[in-house]
Amino acid sequence: MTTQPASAPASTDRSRSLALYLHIPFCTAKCGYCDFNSYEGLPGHLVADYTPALVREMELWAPAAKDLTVDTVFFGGGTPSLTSLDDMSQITAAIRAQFNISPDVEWTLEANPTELSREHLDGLRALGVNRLSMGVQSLQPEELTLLERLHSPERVIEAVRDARAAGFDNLNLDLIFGIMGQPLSKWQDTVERILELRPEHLSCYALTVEPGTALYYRVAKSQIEEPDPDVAADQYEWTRTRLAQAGYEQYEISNWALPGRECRHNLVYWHAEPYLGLGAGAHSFFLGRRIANVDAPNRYVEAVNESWEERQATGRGELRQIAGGETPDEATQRADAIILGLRLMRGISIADFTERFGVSPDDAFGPAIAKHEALGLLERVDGQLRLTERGLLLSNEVFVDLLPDEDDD
Amino acid sequence: MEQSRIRNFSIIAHIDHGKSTLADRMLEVTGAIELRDMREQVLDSMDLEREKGITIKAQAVRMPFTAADGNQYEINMVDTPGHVDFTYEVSRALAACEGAILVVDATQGIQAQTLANVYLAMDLNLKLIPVVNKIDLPSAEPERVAQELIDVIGFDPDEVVFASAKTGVGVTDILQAVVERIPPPQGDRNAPLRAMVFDAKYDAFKGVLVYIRVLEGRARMGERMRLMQQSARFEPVEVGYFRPALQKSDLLEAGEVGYIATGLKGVSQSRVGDTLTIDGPGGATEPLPGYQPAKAMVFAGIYPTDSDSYAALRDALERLTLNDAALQWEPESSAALGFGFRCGFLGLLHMEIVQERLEREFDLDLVATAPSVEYELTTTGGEEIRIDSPAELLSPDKIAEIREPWVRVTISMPARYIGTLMQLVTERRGEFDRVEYLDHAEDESESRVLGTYHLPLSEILVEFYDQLKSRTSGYAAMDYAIEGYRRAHVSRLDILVNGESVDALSAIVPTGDAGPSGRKLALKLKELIPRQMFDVPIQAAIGGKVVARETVKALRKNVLAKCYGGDITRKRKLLEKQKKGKKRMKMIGSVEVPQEAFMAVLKMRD
Ligand SMILES: Nc1nc2c(ncn2[C@@H]2O[C@H](COP(=O)(O)OP(=O)(O)OP(=O)(O)O)[C@@H](O)[C@H]2O)c(=O)[nH]1
Ligand code: SF4
Ligand SMILES: [Mg+2]
Repeated sequence: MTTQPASAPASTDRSRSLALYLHIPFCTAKCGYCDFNSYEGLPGHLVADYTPALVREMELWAPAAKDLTVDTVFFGGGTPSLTSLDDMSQITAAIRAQFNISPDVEWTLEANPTELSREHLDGLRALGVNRLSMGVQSLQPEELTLLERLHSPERVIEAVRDARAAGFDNLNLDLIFGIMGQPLSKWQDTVERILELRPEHLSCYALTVEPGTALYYRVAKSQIEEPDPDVAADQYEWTRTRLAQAGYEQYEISNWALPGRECRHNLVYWHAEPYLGLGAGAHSFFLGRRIANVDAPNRYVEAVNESWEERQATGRGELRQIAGGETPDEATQRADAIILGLRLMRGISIADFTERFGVSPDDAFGPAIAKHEALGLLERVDGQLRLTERGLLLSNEVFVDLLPDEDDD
Repeated sequence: MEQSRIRNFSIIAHIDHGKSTLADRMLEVTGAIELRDMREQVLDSMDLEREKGITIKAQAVRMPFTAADGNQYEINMVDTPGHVDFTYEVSRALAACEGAILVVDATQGIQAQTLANVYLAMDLNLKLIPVVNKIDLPSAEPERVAQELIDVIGFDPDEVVFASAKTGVGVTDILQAVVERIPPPQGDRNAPLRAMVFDAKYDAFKGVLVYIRVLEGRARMGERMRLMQQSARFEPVEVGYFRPALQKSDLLEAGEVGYIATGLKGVSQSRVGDTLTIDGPGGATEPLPGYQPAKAMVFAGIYPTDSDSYAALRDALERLTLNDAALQWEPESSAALGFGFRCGFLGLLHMEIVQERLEREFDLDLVATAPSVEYELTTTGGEEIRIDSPAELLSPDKIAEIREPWVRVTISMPARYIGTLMQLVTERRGEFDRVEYLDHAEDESESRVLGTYHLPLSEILVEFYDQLKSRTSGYAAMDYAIEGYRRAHVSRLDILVNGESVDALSAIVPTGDAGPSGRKLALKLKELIPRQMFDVPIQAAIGGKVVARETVKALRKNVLAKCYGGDITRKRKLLEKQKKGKKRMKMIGSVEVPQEAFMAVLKMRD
């Protein structure tokens, strides 16, 4: 292998840092492939009640985070760009009031081009949002229709231009490849036109037809074909070469950035560092626990309000918005660390892993690592264990063998 | 209850003619089951029965009934399966009864399996009550079907009862007919106990439960008992009857049906067809005649996916055999699959049900090999052997003659399909025997007929039934029985995966058809074996000569999609699901082969 280890920052000392994730579960219309915790057409009062609930959830958590500094905030969804500037300013004010915010905070908001106005972009910028992640997915009209996206290719170009004009100098665009019936040439065309926009960051995901989605239903009914995995593989390989040529560095299986523009927030996940997720269906890895909030927005709002009122009245009480959680045992922590770490191009540092867990990756996962080295999916370079070029697209084959053995019940 | 007030009967019919639904109505009318416990086909209590919508196990239940004479009767009903693969259940149920209700669907009329069941009941001299069911349906032809019953089976016109198991019409009439026409049991209650074990089941707390029909004497709590054939001795943990849940009663007398919890933990200590009696001087000396053992029609290997589960599979088979008297098995081993069991089944549905039950009830992951019939083989040395797996087939130079089982197939259908059937049967190496008319419609082609054919058993195993249904738009129904062996011309088709011969994938095919079969099988395997990390060649060979080659191309992509907001638990779950899927596959060398691939030979005709 001749590829250099990417220069994405290694896990720097973030022991006093915290990543904050806020989930906005509303969308104008559900996209055909989407199985995220997002909803279309929720009643207005629920949307209205959501902001105060988010603010209250912050108040519930704030004491636990008082010694930490937030160095990345991420509004994910759903479609956070749908939230009004009024609500947005209440939320951002609460964030600043409840948490210590680092001066160089990375502050990302996910946006859909459809209804993104110049005024809104100006407003977001003024509130302190400094990174925009836009769901583009494709610049081919027929693909956008197939995916049930509401915007046109032209709207994407306008929205990007407006974002630039509003002062967003850190922009991510999300793209989807491996769409059924999508030839390599169409994907190339999308990528070429995206490159003209010179975003600082690009995420390219292979389409997966998830059970329960509209797309899944149409495939099951044979109305449309399944995506062709070999075409997707061709597209992926082409993308790696092309983006490298264009000066983008791939730092994760699906993520590319101009130098120094890696997404700090996503790195937190892949480094298995703590993050606090707020909102319906949000996930946290906080105080050693993995926590999931209830998915349904109405139940989330009720639960937060109950907990908050109880806290006001008695000074204590459980967090009812939490639907479930686990404290990963040692084996699960190791598996998480290696599985998440291997998603990064540089892989995991064998020394760091050994120091952290008191056992080397080879001692913990010997047969699995040996098997996949033999198959050419894993390799060792300069004290790092990482996926090979071929291993990137076959990463699940590796990860499956790294899972801890389930206890037989 | 005194015997004059007891009636024992089975419900028999062709598949889907409404036995279990009719049983529901009788349970309601008699109040045997509380309304709140009622659901459709309540006697189909196994998950598998409910999912497939068919009865698999015969199920007994006791009901109280106040007849027109004002007397209270104890009626014992056994709902039976209709599918031909479960005939053994029916015959044992019938042997525990004095009569049977013969249900015929008013929209379908007499079907092949109706007649097969009638013959079973007649052999046992049982009183039959003909019931024309589903008269509520717009397409019902009750009069025509009643006439069939009169003409074909010889009932009197006034014997036929009309009913709808859906609306409940006629249900009380049926119960009344049971009381009036079916003779009460007549065993001597003062004779030494003799009870027939017609079914059994393992219970973790109560040990082996034997389901019995008491023919003579009494079975009560507190007395030591003995199973005569297996000479197992025990003191009952519980005595009772079915409602259909187990109901304690402490006493079962001649004429009654119920169960005894034996407390026995060794499952091999009891067997269907055994005789239960009192242990010691008060016991019987002569056992009851018992049942004919079931004759397996098809054979297949069953192996644990994970070879560590061999012992668990053996335990599971032992326990399942208690509850499935038709299942046979013995240990075997395969170079590709390791240690497992050669099992004999009554048909493919039976095989599927056994595999499902083993997996579900005993939490096992299994691989079954393609089913085979049993061949008779004369070697050049004059030796006679029987083989039921492709691996056992000797090389052609050692074989003087091979014979395969043939079946007599009866098919009921409208006359207009006689030609269609002729074609299907010929395609499958079969012969036409005769056609009889079940009735005479004005339009001759609408008359219903019963066709008789002779075919090799192996030919009806593979999608024959599906073809029959689709080519006759569902109007035909079939039954079959072994009738003997005839000379066969067959060869073994070997399969090589990644260069290695895999015994468990080989098949016995007609010699004249071996080349095309090899190509079809290789192609089917290519579809069924998932892509691996490397190219996997698949070859079909006959006598060492490769006749077909396909390649499963290496996998290039298996990567997770975007997961929002750090939902790592979910990512892990997705991976765990993939891992489970892989665990269900069998490693053949370094190739992961799914269960379905071993059945590829059944799918070759697609
Ligand atoms: N309309 C109508 N449908 C009926 C009647 N009796 C049964 N059915 C339907 O016919 C189908 C088969 O009924 P079952 O009671 O399961 O038939 P079965 O004879 O027990 O079937 P097997 O046990 O599989 O042989 C079901 O969908 C019933 O709802 C009836 O009198 N009228
Ligand atoms: S915009 Fe995003 S979150 Fe909303 S439905 Fe579409 S894919 Fe799902
Ligand atoms: Mg039934």
